[in-house]
Amino acid sequence: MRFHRAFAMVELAQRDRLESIARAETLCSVRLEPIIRQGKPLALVELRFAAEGRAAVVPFVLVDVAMLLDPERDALVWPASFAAAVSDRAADGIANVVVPWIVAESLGRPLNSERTLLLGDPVERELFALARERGAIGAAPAADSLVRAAPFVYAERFRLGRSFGVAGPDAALGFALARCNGDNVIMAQECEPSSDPLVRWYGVEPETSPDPRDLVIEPAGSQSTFAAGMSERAVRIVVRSDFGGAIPLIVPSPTDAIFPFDRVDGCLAGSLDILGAIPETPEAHRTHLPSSATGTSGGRIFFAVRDARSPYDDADIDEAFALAESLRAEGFEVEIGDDPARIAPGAFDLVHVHGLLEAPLALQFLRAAKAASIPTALHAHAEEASLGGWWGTVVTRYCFEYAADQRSIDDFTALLRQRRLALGEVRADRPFAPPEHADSAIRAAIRLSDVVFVSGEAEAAFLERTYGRSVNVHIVPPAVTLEVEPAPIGAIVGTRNFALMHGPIGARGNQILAMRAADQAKIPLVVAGRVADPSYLALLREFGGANTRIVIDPSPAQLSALYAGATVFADLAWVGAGRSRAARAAIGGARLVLADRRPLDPVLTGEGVTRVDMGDEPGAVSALGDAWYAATESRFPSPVGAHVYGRTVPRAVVAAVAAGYALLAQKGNGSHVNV
Amino acid sequence: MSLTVFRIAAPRAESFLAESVTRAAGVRLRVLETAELLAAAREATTRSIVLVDSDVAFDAATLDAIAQSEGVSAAIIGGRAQMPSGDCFGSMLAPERFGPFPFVLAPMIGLTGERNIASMFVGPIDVVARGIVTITRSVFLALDGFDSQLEQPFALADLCFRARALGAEVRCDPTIVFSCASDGPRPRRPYASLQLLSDRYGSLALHHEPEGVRRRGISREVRLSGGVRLRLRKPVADLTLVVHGTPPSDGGRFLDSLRSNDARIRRIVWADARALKANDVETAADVRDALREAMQVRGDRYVGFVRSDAELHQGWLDDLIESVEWGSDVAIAVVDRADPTACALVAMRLVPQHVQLARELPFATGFERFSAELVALRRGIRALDGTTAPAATMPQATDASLSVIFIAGSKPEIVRTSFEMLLGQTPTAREYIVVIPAGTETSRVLLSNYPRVSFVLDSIDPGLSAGLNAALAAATGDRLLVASDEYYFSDGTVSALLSAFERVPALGLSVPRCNGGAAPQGISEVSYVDLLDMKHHAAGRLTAFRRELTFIDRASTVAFAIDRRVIQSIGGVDERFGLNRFAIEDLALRAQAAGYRVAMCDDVFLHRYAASYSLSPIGHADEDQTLWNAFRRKWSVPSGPVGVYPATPMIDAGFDPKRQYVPLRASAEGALTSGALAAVFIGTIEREDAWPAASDALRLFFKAYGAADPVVLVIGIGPQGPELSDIGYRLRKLLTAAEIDVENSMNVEVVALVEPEAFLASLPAGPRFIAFGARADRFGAIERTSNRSFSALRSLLDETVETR
Repeated sequence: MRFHRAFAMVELAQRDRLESIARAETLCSVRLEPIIRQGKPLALVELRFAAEGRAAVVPFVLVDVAMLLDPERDALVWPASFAAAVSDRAADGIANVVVPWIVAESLGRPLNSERTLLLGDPVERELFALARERGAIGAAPAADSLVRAAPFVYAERFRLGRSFGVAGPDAALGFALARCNGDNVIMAQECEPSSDPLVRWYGVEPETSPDPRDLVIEPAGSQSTFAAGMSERAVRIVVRSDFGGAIPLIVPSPTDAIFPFDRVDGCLAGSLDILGAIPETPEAHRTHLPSSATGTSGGRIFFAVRDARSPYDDADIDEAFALAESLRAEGFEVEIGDDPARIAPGAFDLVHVHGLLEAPLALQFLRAAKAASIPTALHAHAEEASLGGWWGTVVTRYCFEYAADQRSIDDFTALLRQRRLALGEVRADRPFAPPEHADSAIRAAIRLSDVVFVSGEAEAAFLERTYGRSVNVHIVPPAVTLEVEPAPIGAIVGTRNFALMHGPIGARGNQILAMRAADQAKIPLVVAGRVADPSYLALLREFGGANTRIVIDPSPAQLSALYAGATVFADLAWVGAGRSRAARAAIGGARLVLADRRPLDPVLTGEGVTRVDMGDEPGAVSALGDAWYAATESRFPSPVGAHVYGRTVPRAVVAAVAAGYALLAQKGNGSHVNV
Repeated sequence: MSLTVFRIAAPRAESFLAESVTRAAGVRLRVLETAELLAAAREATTRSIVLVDSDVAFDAATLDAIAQSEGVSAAIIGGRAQMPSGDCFGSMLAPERFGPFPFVLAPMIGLTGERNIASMFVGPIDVVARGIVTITRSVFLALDGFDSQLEQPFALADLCFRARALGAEVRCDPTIVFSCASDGPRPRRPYASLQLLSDRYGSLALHHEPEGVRRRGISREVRLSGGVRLRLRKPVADLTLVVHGTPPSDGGRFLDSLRSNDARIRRIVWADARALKANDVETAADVRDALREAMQVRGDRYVGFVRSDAELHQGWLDDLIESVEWGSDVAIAVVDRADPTACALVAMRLVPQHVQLARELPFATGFERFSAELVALRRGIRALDGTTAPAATMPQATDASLSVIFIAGSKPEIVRTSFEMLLGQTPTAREYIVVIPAGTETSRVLLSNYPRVSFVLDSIDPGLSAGLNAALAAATGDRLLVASDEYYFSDGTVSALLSAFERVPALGLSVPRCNGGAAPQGISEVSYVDLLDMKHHAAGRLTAFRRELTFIDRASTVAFAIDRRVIQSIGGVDERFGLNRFAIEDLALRAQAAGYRVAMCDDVFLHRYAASYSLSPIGHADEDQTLWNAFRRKWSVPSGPVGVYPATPMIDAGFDPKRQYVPLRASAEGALTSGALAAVFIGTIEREDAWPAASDALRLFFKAYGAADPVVLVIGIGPQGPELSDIGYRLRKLLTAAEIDVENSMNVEVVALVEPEAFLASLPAGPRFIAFGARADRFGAIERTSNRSFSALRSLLDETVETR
C-alpha cells in the first residue's frame, strides 16, 4: 500500500477504529477534490466509513492522478496512520470502489471540480448533507472544512503537559483531532453529543469531565463550562469570526497553504486570540551591550551587501549590519548599500564587501572601487559550495517535491545521505553552482580585494588552497547582532523550550531536513526567516508536522526573543554562512547543531557544538536529540555560550577588523582610512 | 532613442549593467517598485513604457529592437526571454485536465535545436514573456496598470487579457532578445491568483496557441518517466478519410469542404457505389470494408470518416484532431455525440489490433460496438462540444484462463526445479505445454509424470523458437505464461506477473525484472549469494514494489505473460532470431505497434541461471552481432551498438498484418521425425578445435539443402567438444550469416557422442554419409562427402532419390 506522511496533523480516526471498520463494505461516502501541490495537479479523497454505530473519517487520501491514465502504481496514496492500521487487502477493496469511480469521472474529460459518491443508506445520505452544511471534513470542500480544523491544529503547539477542552460547533472535530494526537481531551458539557450530527459524522465518543482544563479551544462568546474552572497555567484559544485576533485564520488552499496562519498567504477567514498562561519568553543568558561612541571620525566606509533593504536576510548581511553598528560606535562613518553605482572617486575611503553569495555583484563593487582608487576589504564567508553545497540545494527539495509517496522520499533521502542523487548534470561529485555563484567571479573578487577577512585558520587555508589567496588574509571573530527589547513570542511558539533555525526559507537553508529531523526527535522547531522561495515554504508546511512553527518575516524584537529562548540552534544550510547567527544563539544560551562542511570556525567550537552532515537525516535526528537532551536536562547553561561571548565582544571585533583595515594603510594602498 | 524604461524591484548586478546599456543609448532607466509604476507611467511623456524585471540582462541590440517594435500597432509587446529552462516566448491559458481550475498558465518554451523557432511565435500571443514588456502608455493607464491582487506572473497575464478585451493587440516580437537569470518569480499565493483568474476568465474559448505554432503540427500530451506529462508539438500524423453516403449534388464543393483544414488528408476513400469520381479519391463498395482496410495498420495514424450529408464547418478536421489529442486517453473524436456516424476521427495508436469494426453488423451498430469496446479499455470518446462517452469502469479481476508454456532446454535438474516452482504457483492453469528439443528424453520423462502436461518436440530449431510457435498455436488459455527453464519463479511472482493484466487495459505483455541481462529489465546490482538469499530478495521486491510496474518499449526475457489476443493479432516469435533477447524484443515491438502495451513488473524478480550452468540452448545470443544485424535489417535500424535503437518510430509506424504477422506452427517436428529419408549425413565434433573445419562443411550443407529436402544432418558432439547447449546458437549464427531462415534450413539433430556404436544405432534409417569429422578408425567405411561441392551434394541427393 502506498502511503504518505504529509498532513499528519489532520488525523480523525484512531488505529483501532480504522482496523475494525475501514473496508469497502462499510464505505459510506467518497469526496474527491482536485487540488494543486507544488504547482502540479493532484486530487485528494476523503472517505467516511460507518458500521455498527461506529464511524471513521479518513481525510488526505491523495490521488496520484498520473496513475489514473498510466496505472504504473496504485493511484491512491494513503495517510501513514491508515496504512499502519488497515490491511493491504482491505485497502485494495476500497481502492477497487474508489478508483474506477474516479476513472469514470475523468475519462476523456477534465476533472476541475469536486465530486461526491454516496454509498450509504438514506440515513447516511442525510447525515452527509448535514455534515456538508456544517463544513465537516469529508463532506464539505477543503476550503470550508480545513479552516475549521485550523484552531485545533494551532492549539497543538501548546499541548505539552496540558489537558484539552473543546467547545463550540466544531468541538467534535477538535475532539477527534486531539484524540488522534494522543491528547487528554474532553468536550464541553453543554455540547450535546446525541443531537450533534458532527459527533456522529466523525464517529467520536466524547467524554465530559468536571476536571479543570488547561488548554481550551472555544469560539468567542462561548458560555462553556470551561471558563469557570480554568487553572492558572491554562491557555485559552478563542476562535473569532472577525479579523481582530492575534493569529489570522486563512482560507486554506490545498495543499500548498493548508494551515498558514499568515496574512500574506491568502484571504482572512477569522482569527484567534491566545489568552491566559502563554509561555513566557525566557531571558537570554548573556547579551552584548551596545557601547557608546568613543572614537572620532575615522573615515567613510561603504559596506557593500547584496540587499540592503533586508537586514534580516542572511547571516553575512546580519553581520555586516552588526559590524557597522560597532564601527559607528567607535567613531567610523559607515554607509550600507547594495548599488555599485554609489561608489565614486572620493565618495568613500574604503569599500568593504560582505559575502559572496552573489559573486558577480560583489565583483562589481570591488571593480567600481578599484576604478575609483578606493581600497577594498572583503568578508569572504568562503565555503566549498560548488562541490556539494549547491547540489544539495537542488536535489533535497526534489526528494520531497517529486516524491509521490513516503517510500520514494525514504529512497531519495537515503541516496541523498550517500550523495548519490543526481538531477541531470547536477551531481554531488562534480562541481555545480547556479549562475549567481559564478566561481570565476568569486575567484576574481577574492584576488581583487586588498584585504580578506576570514573566520579562522581553516577558512584561510581554504582560500589559499582553492583561490591561491594568502596575502592580507586576516582572521576576525563574528560581529553579533545586538539584542533589542524582546517581543512576546509565547503565543507563536507555544513552548518554553524550542529549537531555532533562522535564515531565508528556501532550498539553501535546508530547513526541510532539519524540520523532519526535529519532528522525528519530537522537538519543537521554530523556523524563522523571510520567504525566499514560496514553494519551499509550502513543502515545509506539508511535511512539517505538529512540531514545526514557521515565523515569517520576524521583527527584530521577535528575533531577540527567539534567540534568547532557543534551547538549540540549528544551522544545516547547504549554502550560506551562518556563523554570526550561531554565535548570537550561543550567547543567548543555545546549544549549536551546525553543518559540518564549512571551514571550522574557532569561535564556534567546543562543548555544546555538534557538527552534522546536512544531508544525513538520521544524523541530524541524533544531533538534535542529543543537544536537546543535554540542554533540557542540564541545570547549567551551555558552555559554548561563555566561550563565544568572550570572543565576540563588539570592541574586540572592531579592533580585529580595524587591524585588517590598518594593513591597507601599511601597504600604502592609497588608503585614507584613519584607524 | 525615446523610451521610458522602468526597472522593477531590487537592483542587482544586472541592473548595474542595464544602467550602462541604457545610459549609452541615451535612455533613462528608473528603478522603482511595482506599486509605483502607475504613477510613474502618468508622469512619463513617451508613447510607450518599457518594463524590465530585476533579473534581466540585455544589450544595445535589445533596445534597438524595442525601439523598432514601437512602430507596430500592438499595445503590449513581448520578446524572447532566454531563461535557464529554455527560450520563453510567452504563455497561454492551457486546459488543465486534473486540477481545481480549468486552465493553467503554461509557458511556451522553444526546445533547443528547433528550427525557425522564432517564426512560430511571432505575432499575436495570449500572454507575452516576462522580462521586458513594452506597453503603450495610454493602454497601461486605461487598464489602471497591474492588478495588485495578483502576483506575477498572473498579473501580467491578466494585463494582457484585459488589453485584448479592450481590442488592443498583444504580440510577441522574438527579435527582442534578452536573458533572465531565473525562470520567473515563484508566487506566494498561486492558488489565490489562479482563483481570481478563473473567476474572470473561466472560458478558454479566447485562448489559443499562436498561429505559427498551430501550423507546425499538433500538440500531444506525452508521458515522461515517472508519470510526468507535458504537451509536445509534433507533425500531424498520417490521415485517411473515408466518405460514405450518396454524393451530394454539388460534389465539388463537398470535396472542397473536406479539405478546408490545415491538416492534410493523405488519402480519401469514397465508400459508395455511386462514389464521386475525382483524381485523388479512391473508391470502395462498402464503408465497413473501407474502414476495416484503412484501420488495418495501427500506429500513429488517424482514420476518419464523414457522411456525405454532414455539415462541415471550416477547420472541422483540425477541430477533430485537437479533440482527439485533448488527452492521451482519447481514442475517438466525434462532431456530434448524438450522431457519431456522421463524422468521427479515430486515433489508431489507441486501438488494439483485436478491436475491429464488425463486418457483419450495420455500420452504425458496428461503430457503436467498436466504441464500446474502446471505452471498456479506458479509451475516451470526446465530442467537439467537450462532452464525452458514458463513464467507463476499471477492468475488474476476471476469470481469465491460463496456459503455461514451459521451454525446457536446460539440464534436467534445472528443468525440474523451475517447472515445479511454476507448477506450485499455477494451480488453476488449464494446461502445461512443454517445449523440448529433439533428443532430450530425460526432461520428457521427468515432466511427463505431472498432470495436464503435453509436449511439443522441436526438431526444427535447436533454439526452440519453432517449438514455441507450435505451443502458442496449441495453447487455449486467455493468458499465456511463457517461461524458459532458465528463470526461477519464486513464490508469488507468477500471480504478480499476471495481475498486471487486471490493472492495465490493453496490456499485451507483462515481463519481470531479473539479474543481469539487457536493460531495462536487467538489474545489475543484486547482492544475494545463494538460493535462499535470492528468494528473500525476490520476496522483498514483491512487498516493496507491490503492484508497481513501468511501461517499457523493449522487453527481452524469455519469461513473460502475454494476452492470447496479442498472439492472434501479431503471430508468434520470428524464428529467424531463434528464442532469445532479439526474438522477444521483436515480439514486444510488434505488440506495441499493434496497440498493446508492455509492462515491466517491478515487483517480480526472477533469477536467471547463467547459461554456462543451465546449459540452456536459448541463452547465448544476447550480445550476438549477427543476430543484431538481422534485427537491424528487419526493423531498418541504423548500425550501432547491439540493442541500441529508437523504438518509438517502429511503434508509431504501426503493425501491418500483411507484412509483419508471424505464422504459428501446427507442429515443430521436421523431416527427422516424419517420413523416409534420402540421406543421413553424419558429422562429429569431438574436440573444440574441430569446430572451424566443421563450420566450413556446415556452410556448404546449409547452402546445398533446405527444409524440404528429405535429408538430415546428425552432429555428434564429443566430451571434449563444445557444449551441447552452445551448438544451436553456433548453427544459428552460420545460418544468419548465410541469410538462410531457420525455418527453411536443412534438418539438423545434435546429440552427444560417447561411443560410436551407440551413436550409429541411434541414427534414423536411410543411406548414410560422413559429412565431416567422424574419424575412419571409429566410424568405419561409411562414404565421405567431405570434399564435395555444392552441386555435388545436390547431385548426391538426386542420385539417392533415384536409387530409392
